[in-house]
Amino acid sequence: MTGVDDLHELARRCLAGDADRLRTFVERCQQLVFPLCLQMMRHRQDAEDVTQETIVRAVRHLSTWDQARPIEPWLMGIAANRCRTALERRNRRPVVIENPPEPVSNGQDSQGTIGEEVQRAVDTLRDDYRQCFTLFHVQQLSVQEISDLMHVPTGTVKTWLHRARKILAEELQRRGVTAD
Amino acid sequence: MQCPLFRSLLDQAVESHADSVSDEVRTHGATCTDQACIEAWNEYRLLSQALPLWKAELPQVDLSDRVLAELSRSESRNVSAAVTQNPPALKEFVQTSWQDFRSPQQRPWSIALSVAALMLLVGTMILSVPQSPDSQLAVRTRNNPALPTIDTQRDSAESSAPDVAVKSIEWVQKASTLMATAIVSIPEKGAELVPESPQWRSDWPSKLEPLRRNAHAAWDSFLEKLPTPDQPAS
Repeated sequence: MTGVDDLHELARRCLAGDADRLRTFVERCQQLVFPLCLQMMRHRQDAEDVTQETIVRAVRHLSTWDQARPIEPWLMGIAANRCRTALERRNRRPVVIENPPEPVSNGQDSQGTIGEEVQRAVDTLRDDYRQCFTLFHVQQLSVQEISDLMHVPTGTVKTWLHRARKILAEELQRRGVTAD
Repeated sequence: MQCPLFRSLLDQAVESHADSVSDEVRTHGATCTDQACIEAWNEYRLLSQALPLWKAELPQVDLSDRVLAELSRSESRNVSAAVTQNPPALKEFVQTSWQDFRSPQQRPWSIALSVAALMLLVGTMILSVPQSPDSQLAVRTRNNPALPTIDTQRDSAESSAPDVAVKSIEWVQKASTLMATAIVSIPEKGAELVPESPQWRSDWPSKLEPLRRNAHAAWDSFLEKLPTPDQPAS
């Protein structure tokens, strides 16, 4: 049984009234939701807040989930909507100099681990590329699921994905990261 | 393998989350000299190695307690909202009481209870309000300068016995005042009680005057018999 199946089964049990599974369900959800929120919000505290908001909303409206379909796209759809709402709210706020939105990486140009280098490269992607790339590579969603979630054609998802991968590879090579 | 087919198969491998590619694709990527194939193959190999490392280093977070607490709070709010939407006990009580009051069987008892409660309330208010000079009640005040006040008496070294006497005198004074007040008070809204003889109300004070005079004389006589601090009882 894969992790995806686990989350699906957990959600079904929660819907059936198994309160003991709720904590496990929340833990599994946050592993999926937080990376997307972090990449979209680019600010850890904001990402935590949106993750909490997403999971609370998901649990409250779990009965609206179609059990015949995977739960991940449904969950990611809530997260993406919450992120967009939070970003709009944040953009309307006055700029706070002490605590501006920050990239997930430390922003320094020094050589770090490969993971840090990838994160710096991801930070350079435009928002829709970054969301598409994260949904595909972190949440492991399919092209079709991302298409449904982002309300764009599958061809657009493929284009965004390939452009994002190309930009990332070029950025990594520019920074001296090469394949073995 | 043709270069367009190689790049197409590579794209398909990426889009289907495939962990690896076929040996044929791998061989073409390693040997083809076409610039587009070289770039596509290098990109695929680089990201295939780097992305797992990046995913492994993504920060984790534990928000379970926060989420569960928020869910618990919202559940409590829902319960509170459900409770406030129900008719409150007080409202139900008032509605029931009003229905009882409207029923012919319960009405006399309700009226009697209401009048008793009103009289008790008014009596309490009258007794608690201090007497004022413009009071409509004819009260004979008694101002005896010979009677020391409690405060001055409290400062005295030999105050215990005279204190009791002074307090007794004051209580008697208050009692006589209340009695005289009760005798001579005239109800303001008493006209409807005797509508057939309007002049009877105006004659009332004069008819009660002998009784009032006798009562005061009796109390004055009684008070003169009481001891004062500097004079023994006669």
